[in-house]
Amino acid sequence: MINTDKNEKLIKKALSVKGTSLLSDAFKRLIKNKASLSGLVILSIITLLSIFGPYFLKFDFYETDWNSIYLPPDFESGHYFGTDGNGRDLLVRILYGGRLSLTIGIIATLVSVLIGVTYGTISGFFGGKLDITMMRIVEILYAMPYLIFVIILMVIFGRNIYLLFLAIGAVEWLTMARIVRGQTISIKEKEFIEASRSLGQSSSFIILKHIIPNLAGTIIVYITLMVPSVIILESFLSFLGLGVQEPLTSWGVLISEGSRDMETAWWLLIFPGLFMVLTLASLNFIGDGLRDALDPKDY
Amino acid sequence: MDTILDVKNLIVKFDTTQGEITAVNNVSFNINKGECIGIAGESGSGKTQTFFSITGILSDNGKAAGEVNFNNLNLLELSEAELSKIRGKDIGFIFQDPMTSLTPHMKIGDQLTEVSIFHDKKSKSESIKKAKEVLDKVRLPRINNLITKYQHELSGGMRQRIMIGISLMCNPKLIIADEPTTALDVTTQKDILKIFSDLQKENITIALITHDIGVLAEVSDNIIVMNEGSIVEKGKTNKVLVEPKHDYTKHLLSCVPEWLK
Amino acid sequence: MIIQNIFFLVFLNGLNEMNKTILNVKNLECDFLIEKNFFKENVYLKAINNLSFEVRSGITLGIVGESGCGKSTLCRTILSLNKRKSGTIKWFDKDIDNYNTKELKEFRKKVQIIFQNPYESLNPRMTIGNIISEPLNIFQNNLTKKDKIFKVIETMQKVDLSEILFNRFPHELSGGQCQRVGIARAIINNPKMLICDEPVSSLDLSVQSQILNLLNDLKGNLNLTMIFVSHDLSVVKNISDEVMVLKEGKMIEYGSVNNIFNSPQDIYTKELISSVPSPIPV
Repeated sequence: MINTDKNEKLIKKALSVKGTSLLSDAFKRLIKNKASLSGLVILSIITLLSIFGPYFLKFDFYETDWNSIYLPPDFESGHYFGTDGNGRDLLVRILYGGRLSLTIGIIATLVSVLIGVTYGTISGFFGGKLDITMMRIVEILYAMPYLIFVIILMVIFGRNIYLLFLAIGAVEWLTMARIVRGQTISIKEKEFIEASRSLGQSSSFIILKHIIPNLAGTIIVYITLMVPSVIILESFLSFLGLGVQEPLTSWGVLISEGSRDMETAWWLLIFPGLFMVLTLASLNFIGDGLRDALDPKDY
Repeated sequence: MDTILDVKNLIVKFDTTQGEITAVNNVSFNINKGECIGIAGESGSGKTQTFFSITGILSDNGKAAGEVNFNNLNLLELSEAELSKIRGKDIGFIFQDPMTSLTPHMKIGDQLTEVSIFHDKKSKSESIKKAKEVLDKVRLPRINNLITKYQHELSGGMRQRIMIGISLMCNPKLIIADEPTTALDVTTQKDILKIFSDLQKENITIALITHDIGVLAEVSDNIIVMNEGSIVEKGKTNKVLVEPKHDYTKHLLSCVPEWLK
Repeated sequence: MIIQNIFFLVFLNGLNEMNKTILNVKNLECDFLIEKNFFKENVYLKAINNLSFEVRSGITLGIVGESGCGKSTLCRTILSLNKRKSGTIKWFDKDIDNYNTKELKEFRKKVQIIFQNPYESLNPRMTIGNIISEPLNIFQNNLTKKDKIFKVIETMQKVDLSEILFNRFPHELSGGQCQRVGIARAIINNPKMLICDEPVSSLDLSVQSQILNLLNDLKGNLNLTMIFVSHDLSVVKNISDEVMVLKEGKMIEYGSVNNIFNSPQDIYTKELISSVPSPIPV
């Protein structure tokens, strides 16, 4: 009965009109915000440079040029940002470092979001004793100094870049879990959750389809604020010598090395620092803009 | 009769992402001293925005043009500082939702006295005396510890009475009540309406904004019917409601269930 | 001849259904914990106090009361969304406590609820089509995708919603349209009973009457039994066959609409009725 022409036409007509979701609406508002738009542009330029830049440069990040040690920025020799104490090209090292810092930033954030959202929604949705127990565990973990935690991990498993992702992610999810739990508790009181429950919908479906999509705004904003903090955390660990190993490098390593030669070779500190500051600032601008864009009351 | 508020060619516009929206379109009316004027209309008719613009509490993306004369002053031309001297003193405002219009962390007494200390520069003890007087007026039982309570300890009807009390603290000339009884039960609504007619006897002018025609029929002298930002009909309440001229007014009245008529 | 007989049997069956009690609530009590004490006894609020009533098939039971009288709690308790302290709720002579998973699913399919706030009751991140098809995904998952879409459109037409709203989001709709979406979601699986928890109290007067007319039409077309909860007496009078007046969780008065509104017995009912303002000026 359903495959008649008239019905086909009806279905086609119904599907032809598209609505604007809250997220696409928010994106439009984000683009209108000048600060976050320039943040988006700068961030994408830095990301693209880090990914593709090294292929267009004639030096490799581990390549030593014995004729140019501590060479200041110089266009003739092709060392646009100068070289370091081992005669390695700084620009290519910054771009490689950018790859690593950004990857750590993104992966560690994703790890923490994944754990945090799962943990937080379960704790908030089911409530009661489960909630109390789960939140006490988070509090205990909060109380542990994360540095010791990371050092212990490094000592047991050796220095490993993947471990670094995991270690940072494992520290950062705690805050995420708390925020998500609070939001879940307020969303679960809404009538559409009750409507779904009255239909006999399973809890896992309610969490996946009704609660997490409504957390999206909060989570996205929090991600843009978490990526910078993860990059800084990585830089800090690398600064202490717990992070990335030579000849691989990250912005944190470059800055820590550059600060040693600050008086004789200023470029070794200024350029990596510039890249890092630009990235962090644009991420913060994007986060700020997103928060405004996602809050419909504010416009 | 003296005119207390004279509105001429009022236009209110809002800047939104969908472009400019005209909420109130060329509205003119006046309110006489001591009367109770009712403003009827459905949501989106611009009835609330008209009075928000008069007291300068439009949201940031809204702007008002025209002329609003109150006490020989054009309210639309006043600065924010000058307006805030009038707001709460000469013009009181009562909102729809009594649950959210009181501050949760302040005691009822402090919220009552706050306005008169701010506007009339009264001392604390004088204000408390006045507060007790006002609580009598809004027919709240004279319990001594009422002013030391917090809002969550009171019922919705009591909170709305406190709101009316706050607006009475500085002896206002005009009270604007925006859907004051919509969130309340019918029996409580009846009590609140009684308070309004008491206030009217004290020569306080009341502008009552509501979608409930029954409420207007009970207390208002004159009535303004608004639809889509313009006034469609105005006149004496018993005239407009008994012999409506405009189609929209007839439509509104036809939605009222038969047995009430 | 045989056909006639069959019709007669169906008719008889229908008559039987007409007066059959489908929901039976007995001595229902609900408590809410309002103060948890470590040493003393906990303080409870009695939201529903020893309530018993029956709902016969095909009628509309109006429940009136002021805020805090326990009417919303009652709705949620019937749907077993709330825990109850004591009492039994029987659906077709079977206690809903004794249901197994399959029977509970069937019960959820047959009893649906419409909420007060049209915007709050729809998930803002889902399209109208997805919202209405949610019950289909639970109860009739064997349908093809196309069949589901068609069924949704069919239901949208039943509640006077244009099919071009299929891919829209709730924030793009008016309050009245959102309430229609809520109604469509409730009726898509042909329920037996509809519980309406203040379905029109946040709508404009003219929209209110449209929604009430729609509910009345649907009730006739789909053979629904309704429980209609409201604080607004005029609305209840408009739509119900029988009325129950609630106060502080207790039943004050119960009877047919005419009896309650024309000759109320209890003082509280009298006060309620006299408090409704009339639009004709005195």
